[in-house]
Amino acid sequence: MSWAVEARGVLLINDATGAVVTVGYPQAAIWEMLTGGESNERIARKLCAIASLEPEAAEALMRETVAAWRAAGFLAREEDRGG
Amino acid sequence: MAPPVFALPVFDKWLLYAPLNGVTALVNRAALEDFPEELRAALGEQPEPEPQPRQGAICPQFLGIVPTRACNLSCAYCGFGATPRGQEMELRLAAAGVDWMAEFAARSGRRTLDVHFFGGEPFAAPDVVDAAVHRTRAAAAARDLLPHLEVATNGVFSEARARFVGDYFDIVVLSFDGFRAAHDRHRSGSFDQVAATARALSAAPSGVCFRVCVGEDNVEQLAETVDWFVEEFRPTSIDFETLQPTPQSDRAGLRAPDPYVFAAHFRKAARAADGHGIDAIYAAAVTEGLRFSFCPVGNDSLILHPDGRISACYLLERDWQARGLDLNLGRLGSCGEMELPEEDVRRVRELAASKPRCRTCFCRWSCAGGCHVNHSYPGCAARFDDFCIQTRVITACALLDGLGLESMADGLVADAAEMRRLALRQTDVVDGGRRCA
Repeated sequence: MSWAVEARGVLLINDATGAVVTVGYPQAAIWEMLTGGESNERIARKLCAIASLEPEAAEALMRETVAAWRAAGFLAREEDRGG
Repeated sequence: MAPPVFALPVFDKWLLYAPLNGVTALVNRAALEDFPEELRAALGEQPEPEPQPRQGAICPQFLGIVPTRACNLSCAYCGFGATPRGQEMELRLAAAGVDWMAEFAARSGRRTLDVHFFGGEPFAAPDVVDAAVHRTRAAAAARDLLPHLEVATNGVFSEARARFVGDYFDIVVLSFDGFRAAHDRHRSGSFDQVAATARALSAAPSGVCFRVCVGEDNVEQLAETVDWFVEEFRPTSIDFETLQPTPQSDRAGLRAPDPYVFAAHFRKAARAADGHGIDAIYAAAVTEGLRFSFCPVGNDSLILHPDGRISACYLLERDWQARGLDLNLGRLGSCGEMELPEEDVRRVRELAASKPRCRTCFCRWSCAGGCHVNHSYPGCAARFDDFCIQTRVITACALLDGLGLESMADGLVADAAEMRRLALRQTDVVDGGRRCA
């Protein structure tokens, strides 16, 4: 996976498939924080301020976003990669 | 009233400068006493208006955010009184500040949403910075604005944080005082970590300005420092600031450089930087454009503090108060309710206009009096101090350079007596036979 930070979000590139996705806000913030190795709790807390969300909504947005990225092959669990 | 004309002695000539007319010339004494026709004609053209305090509704160029006053370093000269722990701004207060600025920028037809971070050390409150950075980018995208983010930092953080900074900030002002010995002496032995951050940033998209605090101990190394910085780290620019004496710096045995020595070595550093194709900056001697204020004070900038106060200055409130100043502009509530009373905005604007020492100085619209808290505060001495002296010499050199007289400027900074003659004049205003003095 490669990605590039752009003015309006993040550009994700799946190096294996060539798929490219532009991620806008607030999901772009989730990508940055996930790849920075932050805990889900901390990401959700910041997401509340970034996207004006209640904690439950922030957690739900995170779950949905991560699931979508997994389905698209942009994210994988360590164990899925044999890591 | 005709716009002022200033004149400064440089060896057997006079450097004549009329900033409102955009005229700079080197003349002899006879021409100074009775301006030649050509000069009168140039001075007779429509001048630019004298810079004046802002009027009307507040119009900030940027929102400044102080995420915390805490700092992870304890620099030998720091008078901020920062400790590793301190109040952090609530995330939703930072978001409210960004939203206010975004609305303002969109309503005013701006193209950019400008947010700057100050400290303490901003990254001592990393979550506040993260939330505010992403909120800025989200708010800008929603309003078709370009985000413009700047941060002033000590660079003492992890590699992952350095990557974030390099990717998400447009300008990073990194405190880096030069070679290991000077940097470690000044900045708590942080050389290795700051150099690592500088190296990481040099490979990142952000622009990087190194801010060098110059003391008596490193003033003679400025040109060599520039060469080394450029070879190792490729900064976009290098900003030199002389040490502001504090009780802490006194205790550490650090002293500000002699102003004439600083002027001479800054010139060497600027030449070295120019040779590398980058800028060496001494912010008080920037002569492109006229200004009324050197800093955010008087320019309507809004600095949001952890407690929700909005002020015109990012220095400590107790430091302004010690000078008899009130630089507070209002308050922001965490639900976004902004209070900026007109009388407070007017008070700060007018305060920035009152600088009696600058009235007859040729730098009055370039240096514009420097820092309102540390230099041009109410009741400050009427005579030129070290900051004025170095600023006057460096500015005169910049004007000579602009005339293509680099060797004369080199000669000036090599001659202590000539520098003193230029720097210590009571008034620079001349008449040239145009009117009664």
